[in-house]
Amino acid sequence: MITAGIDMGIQTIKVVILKDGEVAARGKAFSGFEPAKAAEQAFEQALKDAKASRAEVSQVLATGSGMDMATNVDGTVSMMGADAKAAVYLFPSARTVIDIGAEEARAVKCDDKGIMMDFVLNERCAAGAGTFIEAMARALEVKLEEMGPLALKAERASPINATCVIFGESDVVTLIHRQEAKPEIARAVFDAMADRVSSMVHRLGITPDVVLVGGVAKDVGFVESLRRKLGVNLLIPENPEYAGALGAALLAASRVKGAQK
Amino acid sequence: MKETPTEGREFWRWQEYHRVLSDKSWKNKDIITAGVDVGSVGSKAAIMIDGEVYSWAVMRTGSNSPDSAKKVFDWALEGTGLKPNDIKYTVGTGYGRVNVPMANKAITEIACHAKGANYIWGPSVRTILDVGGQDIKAIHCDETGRVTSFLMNDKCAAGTGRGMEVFADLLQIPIEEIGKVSLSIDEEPAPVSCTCVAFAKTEAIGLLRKGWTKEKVLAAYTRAMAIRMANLVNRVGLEREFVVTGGQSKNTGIVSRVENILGVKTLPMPNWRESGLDPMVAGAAGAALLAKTLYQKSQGN
Amino acid sequence: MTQCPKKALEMVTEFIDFEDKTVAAVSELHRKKIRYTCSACKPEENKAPCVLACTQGAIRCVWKSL
Repeated sequence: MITAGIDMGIQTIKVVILKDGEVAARGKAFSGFEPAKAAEQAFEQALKDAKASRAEVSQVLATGSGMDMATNVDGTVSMMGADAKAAVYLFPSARTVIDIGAEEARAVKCDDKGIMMDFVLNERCAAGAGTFIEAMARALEVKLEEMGPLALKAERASPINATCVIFGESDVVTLIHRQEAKPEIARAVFDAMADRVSSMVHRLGITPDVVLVGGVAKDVGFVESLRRKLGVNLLIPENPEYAGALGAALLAASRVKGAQK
Repeated sequence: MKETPTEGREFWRWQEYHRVLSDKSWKNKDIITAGVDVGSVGSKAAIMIDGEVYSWAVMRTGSNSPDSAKKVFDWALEGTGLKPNDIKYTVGTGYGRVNVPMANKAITEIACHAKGANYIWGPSVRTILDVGGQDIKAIHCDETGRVTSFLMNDKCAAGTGRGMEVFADLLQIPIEEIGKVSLSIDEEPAPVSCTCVAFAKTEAIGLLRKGWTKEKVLAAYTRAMAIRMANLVNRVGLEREFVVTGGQSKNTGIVSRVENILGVKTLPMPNWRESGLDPMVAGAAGAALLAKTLYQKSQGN
Repeated sequence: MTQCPKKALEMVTEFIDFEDKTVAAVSELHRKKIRYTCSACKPEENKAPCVLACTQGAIRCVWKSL
């Protein structure tokens, strides 16, 4: 059985093709100003990589903030549900999932079957998501992928305004004028984000094991700060940004199985 | 009036200014006080003679608060013939109030703004919307300018001066004109859906690509910010009379929309250039007034 | 103040009505994150330890979205 999940993220569209319970292919495209088109392109590419045709796919489900804009799908599922399903598939001991994307962050509590039981979202605020890191990297004049390694070199964190990207940028500019070292500033950026994320997770209550997914999970600087802040071990899958799409594909498979009974 | 010239293409940079009321004299007057309001974006200083504004200055806060306090204080004194020693009592306020080296006392800006609004518009003021560089505050006061309750949001740039600076820069419109420009549209568009300035920027670029004019985009953003401010005022409880202080008091685009959403008109903007009743220095004026009372108390009055 | 499990409250001096008064206030560390700090005490039921401890009834919790 072949199913697919399309995560219509605000910045990037992610696609996962699932063949008989295993990931057969992944696809990615920038949402840009025409997300539906980008989704089609990513889907086509993934199908090619999976050596499958559109007709062979039993069910396609869309998720993510732009899910209502997806065309040619069989339905939609919430990101929270998708995250929960994917986390337990990847790590059967997962009970708390933290998903940090480009513009949104969420924490989800789930049971051993990957059913979402409770969740917490950050408001539409750039400071709690990947945009914060991007903006700070620009202010520091450092490449986005260099932020993590840079932060790991720091011994402490400089004080910056943690609650807003705009205020944070001003703070970074001021600190640079004061000759503050970049590693310390980079570390402050990740600590600020980790602080925010951990506050959000605490509202939910932390039940181990904790899984971290979303594009930002690839950043070593953020992971280190979050680990330190939460004080628990974090399980991170390979390709963490595909968790949403994977969950949608898994849920699609469940639906097909359910319909077959 | 001394003004620092605006630099070429920096649309976000507002004009600093300093004024001295030439029809006043401090000779033979005893109670000369000062208020210094060091905000995160702007620093303001006001000199008062017997509780009336005589000279004042508004400039950008640099990265060093004590420096900014001194600079704006000195600038306010310029052209008056007064020396720092002539000031009997100085009150420091604002986010940098602990760093005002010449202050005899530091008082929160909430108290100073309420007092300042009471001074500028009189005892009928009850609700004040103060939009600062990095915060928005809704203050409720009594007829003496004493604070009875307040709400503040300083976590988010939306609606703050910094947020407006970002948009002025993005749309390449000089910040002093964004009020006028936002009102130069035929029909008021829907507000932008993102209150977050960082996200609203992306939304704005999308709208421009769709063919929206700069004026329309600015109007949509200004409306969203005005809604946010109006919500804060409603939460503290709107009671007439209502006024706006701080940097955005001069943004007609914001003020008219806030009035429209709340269904209440603000008290009119005074002729501040001639009278010294400048809403942008409400905090510093209030501080200078409180300085007068504290000085009188110390003299056993 | 001693009742708060997160130690979010501290005594500060505020200049009110021309006098220096000592009042309880949320510490700067928690000020901008208070909704997360307080969530553990389920403040929406208005039975939080701080609310019950204040004899003047000066603490109130407002828990709603804008």
